[in-house]
Amino acid sequence: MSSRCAREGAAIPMDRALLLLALALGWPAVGRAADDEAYRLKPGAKGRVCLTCHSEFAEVLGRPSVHTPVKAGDCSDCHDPHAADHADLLADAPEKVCLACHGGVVPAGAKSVHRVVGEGACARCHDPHASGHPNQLLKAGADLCLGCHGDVGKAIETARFRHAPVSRGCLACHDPHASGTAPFLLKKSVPGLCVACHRTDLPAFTAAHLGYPVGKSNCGSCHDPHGSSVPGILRANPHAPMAGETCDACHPGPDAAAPLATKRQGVDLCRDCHSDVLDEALSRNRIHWPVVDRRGCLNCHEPHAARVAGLLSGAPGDLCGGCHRDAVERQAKSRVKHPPVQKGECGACHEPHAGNEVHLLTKPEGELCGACHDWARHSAHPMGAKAIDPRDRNLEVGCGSCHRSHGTPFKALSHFDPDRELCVQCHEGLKR
Amino acid sequence: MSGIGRSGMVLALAVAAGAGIAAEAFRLRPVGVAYADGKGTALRAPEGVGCGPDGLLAVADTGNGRVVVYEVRDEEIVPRTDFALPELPYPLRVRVESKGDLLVLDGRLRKVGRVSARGEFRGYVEPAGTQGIAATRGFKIDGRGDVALLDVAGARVLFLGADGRPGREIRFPDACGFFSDLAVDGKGTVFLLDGVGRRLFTAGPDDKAVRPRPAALPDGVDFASSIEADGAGRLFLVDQNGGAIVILDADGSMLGRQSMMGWREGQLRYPASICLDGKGLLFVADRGNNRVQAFSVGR
Repeated sequence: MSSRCAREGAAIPMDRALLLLALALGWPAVGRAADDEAYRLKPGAKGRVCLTCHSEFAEVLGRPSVHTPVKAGDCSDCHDPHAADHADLLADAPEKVCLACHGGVVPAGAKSVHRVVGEGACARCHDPHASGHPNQLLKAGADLCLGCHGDVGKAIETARFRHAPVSRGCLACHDPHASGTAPFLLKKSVPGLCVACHRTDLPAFTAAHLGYPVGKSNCGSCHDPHGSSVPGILRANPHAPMAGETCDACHPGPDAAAPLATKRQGVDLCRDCHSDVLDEALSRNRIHWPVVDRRGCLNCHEPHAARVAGLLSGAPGDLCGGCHRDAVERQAKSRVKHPPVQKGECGACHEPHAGNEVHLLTKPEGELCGACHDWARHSAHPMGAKAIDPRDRNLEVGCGSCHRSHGTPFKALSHFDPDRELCVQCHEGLKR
Repeated sequence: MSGIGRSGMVLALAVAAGAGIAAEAFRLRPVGVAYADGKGTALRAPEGVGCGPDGLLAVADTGNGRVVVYEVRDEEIVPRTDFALPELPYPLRVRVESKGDLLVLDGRLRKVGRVSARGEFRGYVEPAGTQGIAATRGFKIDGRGDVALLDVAGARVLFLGADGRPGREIRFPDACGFFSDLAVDGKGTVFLLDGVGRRLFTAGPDDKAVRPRPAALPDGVDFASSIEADGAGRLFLVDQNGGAIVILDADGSMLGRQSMMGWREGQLRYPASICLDGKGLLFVADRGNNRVQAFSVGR
C-alpha cells in the first residue's frame, strides 16, 4: 500500500482519517509509526528494504543532488511496491506522481507553460532519483536547455554580439516551468524584463533610438534577445528603413504627437515602397486575403526586423501552418511525406500574395507537378484533355485524380488504397 | 443537368453512411447536378451560387470568368442564359436580389457589382467616396434587401441600402482569426465565420460589434470557408478541405456532417459556397468537380 492512496482521497476508514489528521497537524513521525503498525510493515519497508535488491541505488544516493523522498528512504511515495498500472511500478501516471508534490510549478492562469511540463515529461529535465546537478537536473545550466533548443544554441554560438545575460544561463530571463505573466516562459513581459537592466531615461538610450520614445515598446520587434551578428543585437534581417535609420518613412517624426503611430494603415503604408509587389498582387484574380485585411502585410511580415529572410514572422512552414493547420495535420498523419510540404516550402507550389489559380497555385496543376515529377517514368496512365474522368464528365484525369499533395493515409499520396480501391474508382468493371 | 432519381437515392444512402457523424439527425439527399450552360460549355471551377425567386439559380462560373443563370423546375436544373462582363472579370460569389437582379463579388476587383439576370451591368455596390484598396471578401443580402459587405480592410460588416447609403456597421473584434464569410438570418442576426480560429462570431440585430460564440466549431471541420443561415435558425458551413457540409443548430450543436470528399455525384471536392432556395433545396458550388450540385435538405 502506498501513501499515495491518501492523497487521492480514496474512501478512508475512521482510524486512518485520524491518522491523516495527525499528519496534517505536523506529527509525521507519529503518523508514520501508526501507519507502519497498521500494515505491519517491517522497519525500512518503504524504502531501505528496496535497496536489498536495488543495490545500484547505493551509487545514486551518493550523488550531490538527491530527491527528498529518495533521501528519506520513501520509495513508496512514488512507487507501488506490489503492482502498478504504470511503468517502473509508479503509483500513478508520471506527471501525476510529480505534481502531487510539485503542483505549484505552473501558476494558475499561466501565460505560457513549457511544453514538457504540460506533457508531464518531468524526466526530460530531471532525474527522479538523483543527479550531479542542482534540482536533480540531467545537465547543468544552458546545456540542458540547448539539448532541445538547438536552434537557439546555434544562433548564440554564431552571433558576433551576444546579449550579456545569455552567458549567465537561460534562467536569467526565463522560468523553466511556466510564466504567470509573460509568453515564452519569460519572468516578466517585455519591455518590463528588458528595462530592468536597460534604463530608458538615459540620453544614450534615446539617441540610439533616434529620439523615438520606445521605452514601452516591444524590444523584440527589432532586437534578438539571444544575440546577433548585427550591432545592437538587432535581428539578422532588418527592414531597410530601420537599417538606414529612416524611421520616418513609416512613422511621423519623433517629436510628433503620436510618434510611434504609422503614417497610414495596413497595406496602404507598405504600398508606398513595395508598389511593385502589391500592384502585381492586386492585379491577379485571387488575393491571399490576409494581404488586404486591416493588418495587411503584418499578418506574415515583421515591420522592423526578423530572424527569417524576407522579414517573415517565422519559418514559412510554421507561418503558413499557423492558419492552414488542417494541411499541416494532414501531412503529419500522411503515410508518405511530400518533400516540399514536409520541409515547409509552401512557396514551391503556392503564391504567398496572390495568383490566378485555385488554391493560389503558382501554375496549373499538371504543369506544377510536372516541374518536379518526370511523367515519362510514370505508369503511363492517360492524362489530360483526351482522358475524361469517368466519375465526372467535367474533369480531365490529372495528378489530383489519384493523389493529394498534402497527404493521405495511403502510399504514393493516393486518395484511396492503391491495392484495393484507387483504380476501381474509375475502372468499376475490374472490381472484384 | 438532371434529376437523380433512384440511383441518387442509393447514392444518398452511401453518402450518409460514409459521412457517418449524426447522419441520421440531418441529411442532404443529392437530387440534381448542373455540368454546363445551355450551349454545352462545361462549368469550370464554379465558386458561387445564388438562389432567387421563381426558381432562379445564378452560378459564378469562376474559372470561365462568367455568370451562368439557371432555372430550377421540380428539382431539374435548366440553363437559361450566361454572360461575361468586363466590369466583373472573375466572379467569386453571386447572390440574387428579391427583384431578380444579381449581385456578384469579383475576385480581381474585390468588390460587388449589380447585374440584371440578363447580364446588364448596373454598377458597383460600395459606399460613396470609397478610397483605398477594396477588400470585400464576402457579402449577403438580409431580409430587408440591404447588402451586408464583409469589408476585411475596414475590419467591419457594412450594410448598404438599396440606394447605396451606408446603414448599420458592425466592427470586428480585436482578437479573431480571419473572417472568410458571413451570414445574416431572418431576424437580422449576423454570423461571421472565422475559419482559421475555428470559431463563429455573432451580432444581434441591434449590436455594433460581434462577439465570439462560446464553443469552437465542432471537431471534424477541416477548413470552413463559407456559411449560410436558413429560416429556422440553422447554420450550414462549407468545409472546403473536408469536402462536406456541416449543419449546426442555433445553439452551435452539430446536427450533421454531410457528403464527403470525392468525385461521384453526391460527393464534393473543395466546395466553395452554398445557397438555400427556401423550398428545401441546397445548391453547392462544387468547385473541384467543375459542377453545381443540388441537395434536398431534411431529416
